Amino acid sequence: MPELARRTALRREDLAEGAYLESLLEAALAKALIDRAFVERVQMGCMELLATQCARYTGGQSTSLPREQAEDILQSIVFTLGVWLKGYPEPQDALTALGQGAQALAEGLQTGLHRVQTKTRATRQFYRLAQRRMVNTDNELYNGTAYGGMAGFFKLYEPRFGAHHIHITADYPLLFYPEGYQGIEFIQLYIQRLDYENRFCRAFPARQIKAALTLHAIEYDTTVEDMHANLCAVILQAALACALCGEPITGLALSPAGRAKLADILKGDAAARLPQALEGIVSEIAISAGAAKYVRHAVKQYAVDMASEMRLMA
Amino acid sequence: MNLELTSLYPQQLLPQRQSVARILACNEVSARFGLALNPEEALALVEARQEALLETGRVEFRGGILEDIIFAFCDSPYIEQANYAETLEALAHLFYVFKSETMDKVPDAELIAAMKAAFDGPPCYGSLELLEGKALAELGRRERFRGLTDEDEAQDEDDEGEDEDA
Repeated sequence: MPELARRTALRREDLAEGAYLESLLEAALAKALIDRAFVERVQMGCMELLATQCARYTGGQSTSLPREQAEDILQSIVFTLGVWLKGYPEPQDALTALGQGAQALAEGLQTGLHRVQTKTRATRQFYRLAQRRMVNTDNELYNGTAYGGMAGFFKLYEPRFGAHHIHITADYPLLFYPEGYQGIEFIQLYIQRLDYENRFCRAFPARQIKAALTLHAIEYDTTVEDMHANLCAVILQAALACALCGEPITGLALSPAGRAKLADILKGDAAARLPQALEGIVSEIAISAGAAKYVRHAVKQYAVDMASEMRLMA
Repeated sequence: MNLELTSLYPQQLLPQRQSVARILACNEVSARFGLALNPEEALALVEARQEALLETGRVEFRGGILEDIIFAFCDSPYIEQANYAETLEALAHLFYVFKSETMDKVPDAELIAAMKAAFDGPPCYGSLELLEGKALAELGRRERFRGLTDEDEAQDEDDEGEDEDA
């Protein structure tokens, strides 16, 4: 690709997946691929869609709505158009589609809505399967989100007028929280990542999981029920500590000799040894390739923090 | 750079010029009752509607409500040419206030019909003050408490009283 074309080309990785339409327009405007008039036409198109959707929302019974409600429906429209546009692998093609006029925008909204509805059905089905792999724990934050929260989302989600809504607080902290995502895209990612974490945890005996969580809670002067912690991180750190010290990883606990050895290891650059220790764990336990990739990414991202946390076990 | 795609400020959903023309077209019907708006009064009515929307925090996405109000009230025995424009502005304002007061539970047509019935008959007999203070207030109260038991209603009224005192 010629240099000028490469410099001005829109790259998908530069765009915000969670706010795709807005970031597409901003990036294209910054690169002078479109002008302000183009943006205004898109805004006007969104306003026309809003008028139609508001009429649908009120069942034709009203000609006005509270501003907050109308803005909320507009956010849903913008989100859904983003879902439509993400169907184009190349942002340039998405931009072209966006500039085809009001009718094309209306059709795009319907396409986006159809995709959202399909994604919702698929995610609901996946969630039913993922529920069988939940960690058996008393932790209220985990249970509240994984069971009540997720079920609540599927009951409340109305993509025609609130496609961007999450409805629930999803307080349980994942290793990689889906920041910046909205609606079903957030939920889909959240459940997927929760499932990866659950798959890793369930590779270990339930009794040892409970013991490791209890020890962690004690160190933080709390209870397993009340603690605000990522359960997978606790199990992962325990397994890594065992792996570093050459002790059985399924025990998730160190012998007195193991603790002394860990204290010694932690005097050096323990973080640098964690990726290799993880490979030993992954080769021993049976988890999916997706879950393995996920925890590898976690160790790469949080190695220093994990090594620091291990001091509690030494 | 914030393109503010999801903000409705300062956009209006309905063009103003279109609204004035449609209101003036209503003169064909209202003239039968001796009532008509001139272009300045029609524009003032449109602007009053905009102010009422801003004041009540509402957005209009489809036209026609001013025409509906005109058609509903032009045969009122309590409206004459001298007070026609001013009364329509007040009615438009009251309409939006009570759309919000009734939490959007009352369809437009039903609210206008309720306003007309109350304005022309008891208790208002053409009084805008009584329409707002008595008839529409009662309608708003009824809608807010719809579905609650008498006990819940009393509790909510107590809570409202406490909020006002605070």
